[in-house]
Amino acid sequence: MRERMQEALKNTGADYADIRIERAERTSIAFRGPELDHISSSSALGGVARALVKGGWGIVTFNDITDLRAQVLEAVACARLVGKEKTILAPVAPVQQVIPPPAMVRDFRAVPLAEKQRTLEAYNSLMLRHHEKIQTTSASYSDLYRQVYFANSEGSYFEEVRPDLTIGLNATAKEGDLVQRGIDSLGRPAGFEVAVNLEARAEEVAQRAIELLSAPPVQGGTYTCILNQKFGGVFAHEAFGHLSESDFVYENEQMRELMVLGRRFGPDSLNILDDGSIPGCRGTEAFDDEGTPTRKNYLIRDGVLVGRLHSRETAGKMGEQPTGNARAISWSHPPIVRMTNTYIEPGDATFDDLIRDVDLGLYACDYFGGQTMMEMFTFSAAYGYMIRNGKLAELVRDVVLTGNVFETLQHMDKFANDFTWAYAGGGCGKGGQSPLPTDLGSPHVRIQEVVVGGRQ
Amino acid sequence: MIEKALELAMRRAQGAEITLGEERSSNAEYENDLLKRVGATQTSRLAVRVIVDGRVGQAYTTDFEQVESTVQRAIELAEFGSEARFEFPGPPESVPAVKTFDAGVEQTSREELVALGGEMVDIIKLYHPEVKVSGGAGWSSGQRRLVNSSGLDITTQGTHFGGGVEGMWVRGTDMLFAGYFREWRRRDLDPKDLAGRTIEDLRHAENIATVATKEMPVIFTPRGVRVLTLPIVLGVNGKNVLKGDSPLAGKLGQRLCGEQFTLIDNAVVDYAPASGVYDGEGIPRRINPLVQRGVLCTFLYDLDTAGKAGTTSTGSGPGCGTSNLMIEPGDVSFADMLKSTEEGIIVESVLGLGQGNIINGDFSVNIALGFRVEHGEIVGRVKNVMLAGNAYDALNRIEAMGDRCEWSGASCAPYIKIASLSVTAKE
Repeated sequence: MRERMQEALKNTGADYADIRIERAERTSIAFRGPELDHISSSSALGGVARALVKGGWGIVTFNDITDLRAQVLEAVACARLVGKEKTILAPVAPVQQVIPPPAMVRDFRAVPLAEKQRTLEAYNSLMLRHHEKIQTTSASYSDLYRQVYFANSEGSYFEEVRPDLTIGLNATAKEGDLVQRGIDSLGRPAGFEVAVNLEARAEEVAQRAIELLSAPPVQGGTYTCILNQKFGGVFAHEAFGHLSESDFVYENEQMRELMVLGRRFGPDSLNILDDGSIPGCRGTEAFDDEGTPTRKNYLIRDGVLVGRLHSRETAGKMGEQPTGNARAISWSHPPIVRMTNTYIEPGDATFDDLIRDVDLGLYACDYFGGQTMMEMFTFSAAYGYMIRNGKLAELVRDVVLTGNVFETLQHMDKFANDFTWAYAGGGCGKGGQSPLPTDLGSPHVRIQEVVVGGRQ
Repeated sequence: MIEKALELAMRRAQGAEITLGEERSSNAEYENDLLKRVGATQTSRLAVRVIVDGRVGQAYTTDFEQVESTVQRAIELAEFGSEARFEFPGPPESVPAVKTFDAGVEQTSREELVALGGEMVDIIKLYHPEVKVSGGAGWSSGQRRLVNSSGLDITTQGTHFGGGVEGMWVRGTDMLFAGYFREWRRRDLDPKDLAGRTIEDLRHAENIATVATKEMPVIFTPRGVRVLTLPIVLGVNGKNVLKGDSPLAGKLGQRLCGEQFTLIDNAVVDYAPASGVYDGEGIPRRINPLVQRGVLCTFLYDLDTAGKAGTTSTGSGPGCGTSNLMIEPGDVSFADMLKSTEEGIIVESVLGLGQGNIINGDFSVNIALGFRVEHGEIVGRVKNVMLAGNAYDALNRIEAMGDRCEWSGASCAPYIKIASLSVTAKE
């Protein structure tokens, strides 16, 4: 493969060109209610050729890998229509590496289908049988084995294997016309060993759905909020992480002024990072999809903006270092600036320290999903508890937090010492590339004056 | 190749369906005022579905050296598959005469796509130099051949042509996005119209208007209407009905909402984005009225779900989803809707839709692009405002239905004014 790819990239007339080819195999199993909903298997082979001519990109994706040179030349022809300036890419030392596949304790490709199905069915049954008011469930399993081959016109070549295993558990409880959900998920770049021993989590999912049936909807208003670790991680990713993606910033004067390095975003105790090199996290890769090594990147340090996430192009145009954040979800997409593993660093406080002096507040936990549109974010907690007079009080439902990220970051005032990674399923969506495996991490976090949506 | 795959499958299976899809596309994209990339795609995909000993197995590949192993994998998977309560359909008696292919689409050169995108970008740039514009245009063209063990052998061709533009305006810490796009199955793009409407939104958004936290009338634009229809789309999905997730189960023939509301799933509008002669399982497409004058009429089914529910496919396979979603217009012009609103909000787009317990109808969203109405006029854009309610409740309080429908993507809707919804503003 190396020779074929490097031959195709010689003397194309482009300032820069690369090819990324992927082979991927996926098995998916899903239950809905007591029945198996589907079981499927897919294999993919395809690639993307990119060319840069005078700063303009040509991008061609293909399933037919027999004539790689033709694909590259077509990308060059496209690029010629675009480029009018100079090609600027931050330099990255060419790499030559075939990365050994990560060690899976139990390679999921060798696990019999019967066992995968049985394991998932057991979790599903636990949820279904948990309580008579559990009306239906959905349980899903997916394993994906991706082999990535990358070569560029600067002589870089790498091969990397990226396994990904995810499990999703959902239970729906019903009482009269009211329907409530419990959810949980898991996502790891690992083998089948992470798919077992999840019985307690399945029971919790069903139990939460039941409890939410008799919980009141949260009253709309402005509250002091404590986010649990999963929710704190979503906050870092959704409210701030996307603003750190330099492709929103680098060609936009106003955004560059807004996201100026050195600007204070939050208190001294606030640190937000993105690190694609952490072993065992879902967004980890040795190299990004341009051959840049991944690494630990501080975004906010001691409350001040100190960094952002880059591709080679955004780094080059902003005069900053590449960070290893150019990622593509599959063979049919070019890489764009994406997060990897994004997190808030822990502080010294205990959970009790966070709630002790809160007269009326909200403890928001886990998440159904999050969405951001630049300064605005909205995310739905899976459930919440009111905080009254410094103590956790009643369970509440329909907890949706929203706000302006600049104001909200300033209002973070306490960080607990109990950091965890979410290791969750799902993933990040951007530019039609969804769900990209990412990870989220955080301790418990307190934020003042958060707008919570609800009925009056 | 497809015949060989079918023959191989039928050595072991009692029923099989092989689909070979091929597609090419071409696109030109602008970002931050500049032409950013031009590209092309080529995709080929083989899908295999088999029924072996009464169970269904599926496998897919884009690697054509793996055809045999894909068939084998589908057969292996069937052992664990769900029970098949359907048979693959034979040739139908009749098919709709709906147009989905336009030969002119593929004739559009890259240079023309670049020019189309550029025209829209340039118009917005004239409005205000601070607005950063992105957009583009592109087309795709493909064909699909489906062959099954019941003698069905159909080949369909389809094209898509789309384009749009979006302006992003950053002023201090305030960010605003406004934009329009158009997708159709033939070349039917009016760049001046898309750019013009974007400028109209940007103009209205020049001022920020404050809003009180209270219940007030809300006018949903044809794009904003999705807030109200998403729960219905999920609710009529036959799978959700069968599994007990849908609150609409058992309510066929009952009144769901106001008489003014009629929602149709229509897969046979010439050149509409989700139109087709057949669905993905070879069943002829058709018109499925979902809600007629407020009364729930139809659920949507694919072969498998219909078999389990004891009914027939509605041509919504696979997956039981909607095709083109069309709301019938009423008789009130947007101008009149506006004039009659003393105090209210117009909602064009929201953030956070699709999270939480949607199928119940509940929504709690942040208004991404919305405007305040005062004494019958648009006075500015609203920010940091949340909208909460229940779609079914809201559709029972329709004050006015717009008299003209607009397509956006595969949805064709009018303006809809709801008498009151809960609005929460950040103090």
